[in-house]
Amino acid sequence: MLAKVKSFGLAGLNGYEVDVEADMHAGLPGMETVGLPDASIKESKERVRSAIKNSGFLFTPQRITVNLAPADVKKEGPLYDFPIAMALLAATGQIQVTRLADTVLVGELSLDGGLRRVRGVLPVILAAKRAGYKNLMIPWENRNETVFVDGVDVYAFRTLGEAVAHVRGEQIVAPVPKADAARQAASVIYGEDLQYVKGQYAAKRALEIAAAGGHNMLMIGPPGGGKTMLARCLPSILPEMTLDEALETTKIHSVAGCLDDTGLVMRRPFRTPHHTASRIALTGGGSAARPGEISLAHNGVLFMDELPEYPRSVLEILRQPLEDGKIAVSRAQRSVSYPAHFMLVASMNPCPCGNYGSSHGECSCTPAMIEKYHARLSGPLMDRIDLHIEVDNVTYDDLASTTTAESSAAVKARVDEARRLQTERYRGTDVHCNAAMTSQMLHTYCALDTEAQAMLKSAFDGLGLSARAYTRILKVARTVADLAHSEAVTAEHIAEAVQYRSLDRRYWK
Amino acid sequence: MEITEDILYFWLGFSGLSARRFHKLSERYTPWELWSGVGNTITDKTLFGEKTYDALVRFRNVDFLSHETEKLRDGGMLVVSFNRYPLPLRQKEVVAPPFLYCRGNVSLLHTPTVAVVGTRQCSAYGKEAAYRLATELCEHNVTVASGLALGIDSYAHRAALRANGKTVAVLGSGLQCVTPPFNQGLHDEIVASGGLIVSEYAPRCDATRYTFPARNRIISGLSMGTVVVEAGKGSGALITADYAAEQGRTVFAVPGSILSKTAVGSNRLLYDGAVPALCATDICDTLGISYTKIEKKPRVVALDIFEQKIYNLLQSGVTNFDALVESAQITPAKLSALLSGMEIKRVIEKKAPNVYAPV
Repeated sequence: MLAKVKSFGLAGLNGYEVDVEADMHAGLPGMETVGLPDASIKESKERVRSAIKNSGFLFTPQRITVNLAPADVKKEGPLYDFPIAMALLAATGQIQVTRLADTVLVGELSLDGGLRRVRGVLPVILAAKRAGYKNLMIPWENRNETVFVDGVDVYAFRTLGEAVAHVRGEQIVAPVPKADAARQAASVIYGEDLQYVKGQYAAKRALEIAAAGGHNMLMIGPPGGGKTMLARCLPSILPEMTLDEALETTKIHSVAGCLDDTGLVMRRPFRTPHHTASRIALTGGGSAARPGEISLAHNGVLFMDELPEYPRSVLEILRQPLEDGKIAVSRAQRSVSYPAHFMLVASMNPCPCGNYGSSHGECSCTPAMIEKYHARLSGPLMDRIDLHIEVDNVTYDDLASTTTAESSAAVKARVDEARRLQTERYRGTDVHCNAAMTSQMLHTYCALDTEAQAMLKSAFDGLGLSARAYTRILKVARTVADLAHSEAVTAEHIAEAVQYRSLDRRYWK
Repeated sequence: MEITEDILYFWLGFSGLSARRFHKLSERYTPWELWSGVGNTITDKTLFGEKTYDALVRFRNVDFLSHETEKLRDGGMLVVSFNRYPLPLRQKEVVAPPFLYCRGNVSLLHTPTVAVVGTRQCSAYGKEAAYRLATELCEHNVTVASGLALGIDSYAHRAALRANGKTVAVLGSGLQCVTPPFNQGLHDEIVASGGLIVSEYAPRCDATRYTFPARNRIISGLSMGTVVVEAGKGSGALITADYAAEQGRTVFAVPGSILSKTAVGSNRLLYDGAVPALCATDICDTLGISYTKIEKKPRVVALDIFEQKIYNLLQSGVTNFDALVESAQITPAKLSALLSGMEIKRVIEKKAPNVYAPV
């Protein structure tokens, strides 16, 4: 007898329908899985057999063929255990297959019949919703991922037995209640807060500008200056994620299998890949084309500590995603595109020994060594970083000072306001923040009056800025103006923006 | 076409006569005698070297030679012949070549010049010292000569450029093969600023390990004194110092730390009797250069109340950005803007990360 149930597979962030068919016929007892299954699916027959047996159902010793259609796409992951088991039970007449119409099943089985968590449930439910399915049966542990998607009833089960009882109508389970995203968003807590960062006014102001305009940022300073701490504060002053943003980020985290129990990712991601990370770890890839660090940092912050320590090849691959906000991963089997819209925050020492220009230590590097160290960062990459700031060591007095600094919440209020202005300005375009302005917008929104123009010109002549800095300064000045609720970019805004181009200053060359 | 002395020297150099042989010959013959004599009365090839002898005979054609100088001039290069050298350069200890390829302002050869040289692997101290001395020398209206190498040489040239002074670079390669290529930009800036680039090698001649030490004799030769800013053991700057001493020029050395590896050579020079280079005024006095120090006019810059407040704080020793925020009670945003403005007006200077000081 033949039975057919529906499941979904994952291609990048998108789900596609998979028909799971099971047929029983006479012959030597055994089970064959076809439809380009990977190793974990081939092994599923052992799990399915034990799970069915241990749940108290009948596993008839017959010849069984399981087909995963479409047959020409490679399937992977253990998420087909549950649909295969249900198809077998239906094929042997233990459940009514008609009860599974309009229902998508995903889940991994354990030998005792328990349903285990799988990755990628959020993309599956979104795809199922789009394909018009009304019901979804998933493992209990995955239920939190689904509570923000309306229109699909989700049934979560702890065991195969529960699922069968539900389908047979013996013990109906209520669908998982939907939740309110706003309520969860309000309860987001970030670990670090700006009010605990002592001193560092210049750096904190630069963080505020970076957050307000979505600018990439580079911090230069000796070790122990608090660069990492500053960077960790950044998510706490970034605007809240919208539900769409949160869903998209959650989708990526779900596919990568690094979702925690909270369900939706409401907190902006803060990813810190180590400088030994490979190119694949950053961009994503592998035979399964999994998302990498830059995609996991989507809508959040990618923090790269000790930037010059990263291999050149790793740094250069950041260029295209920084421009396009996505990364295409192509492998022999498939080609997928992951969103990668992140803010790059990097830190570096001013020289190999770390003490150049520091008020505390003596630098032991030759100018040639310093030049070489800086040359590890390519011009095109530096072109994509709008703010350079210098972070010096904190003094004891700073640490011991009792003056409380501004809290993250206060800064965030200003950032939100500046973002609101930008959203209004760029309505109807692909651009969301000042950092992403096109050259045409630059022309329109950063028009300078004569005084501002004179200021910019004298900054170039007097401070030895390189030509590269020009558009960067304009964009940053626009954000400074937004923070000050100013319609026009004035000389004062330009003057402030100039301070954040320290690497362009040819001090001694 | 009339034969001039310039052309005669060009003829000698262009035919490949080495500077050493040229000086030996000069003791016996005038260039005029050579012009009429080579191939006729003077037939001893060993005086010239066989190839050079043949070339001299072949190139003895005024039209051809003036055409060649014409071609060089089209490429932006000038020929300065031995008879046009300043006297010190013609001194026989310098062993100057029959002519020099030049690019830029050749009149600089006749201005009071001091060489500022040093190691390529310099320390931050050396960089600062080279920068300061070169700047001061320019303020004393002295031309700064150096070798366009990385390290101290580059900083000396750069400092002269920033001080709107005059600088001369002597290359160890042809004028069209600036070595290291990294300094091509600096080369162009020197030419644009009214400086001078000099080389004894043909324009397309590549540098070799022998050409750099050889050009050092020209650096010291066209200078009244040589300042060794920083030199490690076996640094090329020490060769320049040796040449300078041989040529009877004064050798100066910048005192360095006895612990510093990059100052071993320059400190040894001091021990051997070099004059400590402390400031440009001392150097000029020692060399007897009558300087007219370019007086910096006290500039009148209008500051608004905020700027004045910051300026006063900076003068009272509050130099750190954080400290300024706290003492002046100004927002970091406003302070950043003020500091930029004051930097642009050249009232203050950024000394180190987040540290500012009045100029």
